[in-house]
Amino acid sequence: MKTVKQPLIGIAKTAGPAALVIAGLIFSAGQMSAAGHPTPKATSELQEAPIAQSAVGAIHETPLLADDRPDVFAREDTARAALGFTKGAKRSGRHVHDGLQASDYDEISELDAKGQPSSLVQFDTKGDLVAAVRFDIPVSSSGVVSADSATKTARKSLQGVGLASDGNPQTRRDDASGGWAVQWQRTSAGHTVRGDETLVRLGADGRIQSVAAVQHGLAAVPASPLAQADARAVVARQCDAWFSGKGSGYNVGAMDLQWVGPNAAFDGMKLDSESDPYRLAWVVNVVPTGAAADSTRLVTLFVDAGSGAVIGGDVVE
Amino acid sequence: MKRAKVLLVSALLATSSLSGVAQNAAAYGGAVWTNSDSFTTRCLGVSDTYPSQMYSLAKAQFAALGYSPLKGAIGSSFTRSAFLNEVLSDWGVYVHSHGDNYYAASGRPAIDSAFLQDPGSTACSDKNRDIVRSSAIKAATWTTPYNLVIMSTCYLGSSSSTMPAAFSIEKVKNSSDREFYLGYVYSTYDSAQLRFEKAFWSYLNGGARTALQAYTYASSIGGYSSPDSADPFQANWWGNPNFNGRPA
Repeated sequence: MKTVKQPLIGIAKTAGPAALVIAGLIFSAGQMSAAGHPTPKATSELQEAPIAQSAVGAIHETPLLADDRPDVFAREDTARAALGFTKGAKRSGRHVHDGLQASDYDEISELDAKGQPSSLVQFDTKGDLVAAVRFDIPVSSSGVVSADSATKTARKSLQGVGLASDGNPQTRRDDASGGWAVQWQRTSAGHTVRGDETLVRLGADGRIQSVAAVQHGLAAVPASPLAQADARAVVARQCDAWFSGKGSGYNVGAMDLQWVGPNAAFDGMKLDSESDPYRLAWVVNVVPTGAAADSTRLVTLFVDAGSGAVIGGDVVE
Repeated sequence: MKRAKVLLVSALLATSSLSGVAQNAAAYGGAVWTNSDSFTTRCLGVSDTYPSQMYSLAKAQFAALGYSPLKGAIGSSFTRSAFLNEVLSDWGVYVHSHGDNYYAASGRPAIDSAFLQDPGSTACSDKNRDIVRSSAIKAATWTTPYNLVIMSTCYLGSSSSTMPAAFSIEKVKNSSDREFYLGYVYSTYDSAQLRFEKAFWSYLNGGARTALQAYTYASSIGGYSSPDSADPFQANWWGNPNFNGRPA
């Protein structure tokens, strides 16, 4: 059983600790005494951090009407039917400039009788499907679907919406839903395109939950890609400089050539400037040791296979 | 869950005790906390820009949902004591830091999930010193309800996590209370957390949607990198599938 608390009522931020104690709490009968409460302190200061525009970017949307854009509504209808999504009581459409996700898309939603979306389909500015999601699969749905069956269903769904399903996907359990995630990893010139994929998720009952296609533009393959030994030397120089004198060390783990998006992971000046095309780079995992390992599990570096420069990376905290 | 019978004493006390304080709309506070000092040049050798991006994002989006006043901190003010002193009056809580399902003080195999406070401006992370355990949070929250709790860390969305209970949120997906807990199951890249959270907030604050719909949308868009095949990107949730994430 939960103890009930009440919101602050008419208390200004500066009302002080006593006011917070009085107004912030309501006691459950017989469960606690006022004397037993910790005393909440006044607010800690909000420290201002550098703000990436994409972290607070606005979402601008304009309505899409079937009379004005019958092509978009027709594509949604085709995709919805191919994926077995429920036809709603009505549809709504919008064009979205999404400042958070830094993308523009047309979105058509099927709405149930209460006006809640039962599914959506999004198309990019070229009209290609980027995401189709249904929301009406009960979270407690039961049923046993094998990995093989899920993979076959996923492949069939991609054919239905005109997306490629070449090669062997990776099929894994979705821990949250009990369903499956079937992933076709994109490769180009024999190298993984980091994050690019076609992803099909199925509910525990075997129905299609979603389809997504993520694809970025790629730069040309460098004429003379950096050799692995040279990339390792770049990383060693960088990490020696980073970890020197910090009470920490590092071990270089896996490294391979991948297509990556240059990013601002280690350079705040590049915030909001991340864009296509992806570049071929050595992706090198560095495992911190010593003090840094207490907070950081992994640092991944992107070493441009053309220039040898570190063009981004990632962190596992 | 059936709510406890309530004695409405505090509102009366507040009304009678705070003469001169304007009586206006109820305020459902929230707090956004981010560990950044662990990931600076001083400690890591390089400055990781993701923590500040996620802090800015969460702060703006919790405010957009209606959590006010919005407290918390990024950097050295994010201490264990500041968090534990603040959390009781919050309805929404966001934490970005290193997180894990540590063994409880009582020993294996009991789990007492935790995240790390910011180590401060002159030190670097030390698990033994900086750990903020779910058991300590549970003691500070007094089984009071929480609307939206986001643990932007590794592992605190896994089935063994004890963090939801610290906020009185059962690990069920059919709660009828106004509550939603979001976390990540495995070891997770910062870039993946940021991508997921941007999509989650975009959908949740883009209309009259539920937190589960936003979770489903964000889980569905793909494009998430993962450190290795043993740690696929996987977010998880517990709570009320029909809750819109807004404070009440």
